[in-house]
Amino acid sequence: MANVNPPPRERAQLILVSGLIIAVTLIVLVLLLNTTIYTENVATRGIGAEGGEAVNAKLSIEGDIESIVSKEESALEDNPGDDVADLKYRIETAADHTIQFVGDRARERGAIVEGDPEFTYGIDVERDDKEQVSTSATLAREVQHIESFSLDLSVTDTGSSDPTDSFEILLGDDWSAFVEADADGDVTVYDDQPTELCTISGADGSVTLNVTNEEMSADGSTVACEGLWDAGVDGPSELSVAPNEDEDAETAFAFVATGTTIEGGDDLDPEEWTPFVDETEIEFAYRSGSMEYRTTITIPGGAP
Amino acid sequence: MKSERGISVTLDYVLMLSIATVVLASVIFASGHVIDAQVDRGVESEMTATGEALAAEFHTVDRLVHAGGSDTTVAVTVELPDHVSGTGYVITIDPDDRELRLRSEDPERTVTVPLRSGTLPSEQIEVSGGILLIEYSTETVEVTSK
Repeated sequence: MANVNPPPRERAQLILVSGLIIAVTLIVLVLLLNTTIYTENVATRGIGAEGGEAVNAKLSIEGDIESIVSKEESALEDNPGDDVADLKYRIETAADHTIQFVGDRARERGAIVEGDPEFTYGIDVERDDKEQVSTSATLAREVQHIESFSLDLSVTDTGSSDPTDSFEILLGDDWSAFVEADADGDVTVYDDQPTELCTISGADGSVTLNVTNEEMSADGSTVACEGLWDAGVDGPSELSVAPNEDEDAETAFAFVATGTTIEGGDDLDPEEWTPFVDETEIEFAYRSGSMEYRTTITIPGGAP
Repeated sequence: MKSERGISVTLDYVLMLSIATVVLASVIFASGHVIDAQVDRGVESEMTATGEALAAEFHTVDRLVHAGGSDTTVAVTVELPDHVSGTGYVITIDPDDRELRLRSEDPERTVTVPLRSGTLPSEQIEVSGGILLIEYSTETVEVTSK
């Protein structure tokens, strides 16, 4: 029988050539796979995930604090007479807890969340029945802004020709006005210079003075008092009224005043009194190893 | 024993090795072209992935800006590869055409990635690969290499 096996020398040559072909094929395959794997690695890194977390943290704080303010203001209906300090304590305590909770959740993912809320409070005060004012009376303290202010006044002739001896309305050192009645009962309003701004006749000393709208009315007639109200308040001020010591004056009043630490006055008894949150500003910051995001969140409010 | 073959053993080996060498050289030469083409495709693929990662970060900045107020500031650090397939590259941020152009050095290839963000630098910026810092403040976007 013939020997069908190839001689050992030719078998070795076949093995050598086959090995070379396999080696080259493997090299090509490795090159192809390496590029593919690396490109896929670069493309699938966690891009953009932190931006979403920062936005979610911001929205979470904003939504929660807005709910807290709304809930506490609604609760005032059940607890009339709460002053601003009570409302402030409840709201700011709850807000701090909310921010801490959101911060704890962010910390678990290696980020830091900071929030510094600042609340501007307001008081909506009204007294319809006139009360006698015999001495200087404070209506509100720490006022930073007045949205509306009007008085129902009954003033009498002081007998003095100097307008500054008459009934005075003051907002700290920033603004004042004088309301004077003459012997005929005509009422004149002066600014702090004192410059006459407007006069209404036949009022018999009783007028409604809408300070922020700059008008005075009595017995169905209205006159404009241009230049009466200077809307700017430089700093927290005290809203008060001061009659002439020889004068019999009575006043009812209504105003909406705001400030970060506003307080009511305790000299004239308001019949209606409602504290509220006028505006909330939160200095928000989200920081991680690759991102820093800062913004101011503003939540508008207003008198109920 | 007497051999009946027409060539000597030495010539036989020389011929065998010569043929093997020629075949191997031909294979390597052909493979080289294939490898070069693959490297080019790899460079383009990596630059595209890098460009899309950078475009995603611009989108993140845009989202944060729109979620915030007028005083918003954002600073995002983007870690991109220093090289792609062993070659350096340059990134051009074109706000007018709203695109990123990445250009490698060797081989020289350019890829374009669209930008869908509304928050972009006001002028064209050129930066190299690596760690970039995208900063937004008062309606101004700056991109710098860290």
